[in-house]
Amino acid sequence: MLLEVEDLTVAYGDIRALSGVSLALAPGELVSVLGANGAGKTSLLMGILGLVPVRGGRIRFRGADIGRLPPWRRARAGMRLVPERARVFPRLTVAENLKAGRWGLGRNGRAEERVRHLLDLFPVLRGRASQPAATLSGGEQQQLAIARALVSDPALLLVDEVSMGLMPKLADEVFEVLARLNRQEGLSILLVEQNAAASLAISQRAYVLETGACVFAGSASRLREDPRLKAAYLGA
Amino acid sequence: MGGYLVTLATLISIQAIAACGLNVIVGYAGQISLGHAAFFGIGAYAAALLGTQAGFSFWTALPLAVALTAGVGLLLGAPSLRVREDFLAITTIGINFIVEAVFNNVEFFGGALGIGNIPRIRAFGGPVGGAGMLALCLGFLGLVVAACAGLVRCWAGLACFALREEETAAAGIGISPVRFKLLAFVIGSAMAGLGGALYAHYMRFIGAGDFAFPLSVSMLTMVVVGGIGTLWGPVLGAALIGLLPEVFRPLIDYRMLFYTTLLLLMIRFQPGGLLGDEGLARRLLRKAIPGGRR
Repeated sequence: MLLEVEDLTVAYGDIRALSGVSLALAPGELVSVLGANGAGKTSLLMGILGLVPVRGGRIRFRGADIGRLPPWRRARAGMRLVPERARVFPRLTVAENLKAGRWGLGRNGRAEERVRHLLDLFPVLRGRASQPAATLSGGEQQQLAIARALVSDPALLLVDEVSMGLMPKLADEVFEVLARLNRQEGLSILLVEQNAAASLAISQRAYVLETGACVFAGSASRLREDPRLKAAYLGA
Repeated sequence: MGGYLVTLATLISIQAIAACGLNVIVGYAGQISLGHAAFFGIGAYAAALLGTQAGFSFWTALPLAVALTAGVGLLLGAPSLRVREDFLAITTIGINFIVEAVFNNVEFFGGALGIGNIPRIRAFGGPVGGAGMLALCLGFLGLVVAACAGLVRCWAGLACFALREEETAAAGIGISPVRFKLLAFVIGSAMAGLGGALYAHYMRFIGAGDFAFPLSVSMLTMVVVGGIGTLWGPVLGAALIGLLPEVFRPLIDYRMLFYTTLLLLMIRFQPGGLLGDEGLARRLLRKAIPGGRR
């Protein structure tokens, strides 16, 4: 397993956002975490990176226990976050955003190559290198955030609500890019989403959270066909 | 240039050195500090004590004073930078008051009498006088601006900017927030220490009141007016804040009111500062040099 989360509990003060959730992700897998607003999806993702207060549980990544490392060290271990609402560095240029994504790799020739490859993948970023990231549209910022996360060639991509605030057509494009990265490059992706239909379409497996606990874990196709779950989570 | 102008220009360049340091902390790393005068004071007291008690020359005392200020910056920065925004502002104000109180009350630091008889800087076998001192301060200011320009271009600078813009995203791509906030704090403190050391040897008498909270406010005003996060903004700000009270001499009693009003007006109408992206000075420069820097 690339990532193993066991009994993860996240609490903000007295408020428990996640109670004892376990999750596993094999190399090359695209796994979705679904659930309504406030179900604990983002807390799970941020808990894996250590960006929210974790009260219990274990996190193993590439066989090592990373549960006690600060967030940036977890990122260095080979996971990268695509934050909710992109969170690009607004006053830095597109090129500087991508350069920041290379953090820790130094003057590595492969990183340059990687940037070129990413510009092929995200053609909207081409020719915008010296433009401040704040001047990009929402969809473009989301693509920049994904590209920024991918410059370092991570083993695992953690994607938080990538479709939020995007118009459906743009959201579809972003999902398509993620699916392609997963299929063609074997990139492992943990996708936290509210848009269940779109994310299930590209996932192999899925977890469903409800008020901080896991209520379903299984293959994406089974979830798509389960009438009870369909009614509850897919709005069908 | 008359003696008065030389004095004014010397004081402005000394303050500009400290303001550049504050800009590294506030403008580059995005960490508010309202206690920069404390570090200016630590540099000044260190240089003064080394010059009077230990009998060190300015040139020996300078690196020690700068290193000491940077060290204190590291020591005080480590706990302070755990809090953010308004709490950080209050913490840094607290640092300023504590440092001033220590200078004012501890016998070792001269107490309420301050420290006098600080020797003149000597170079080329003689004491450095008015114009020489101005040249020296301008030289150090040049070094500080060059250091800032270097910082902006290197990886550490990029890390500071990333933190300023989006701390969570920065941590999510492997940048340590603690490390680079501290780095900015230490570099900023070191520059304040350099300015302080020059100040002590220039004034030749210092007291705790020279490094009180109002100086921190006026340093922050320099950075905000000139252009927060820009390279030359703090220098322009120091020049303006240094000159205006001289021009409006009769209003000297109201200068805190003036700084505060200026700060509020800047925030309302020129949030990026005069040299900021949409700033007045930047627009004029663009008009004067078409096709120049963006």
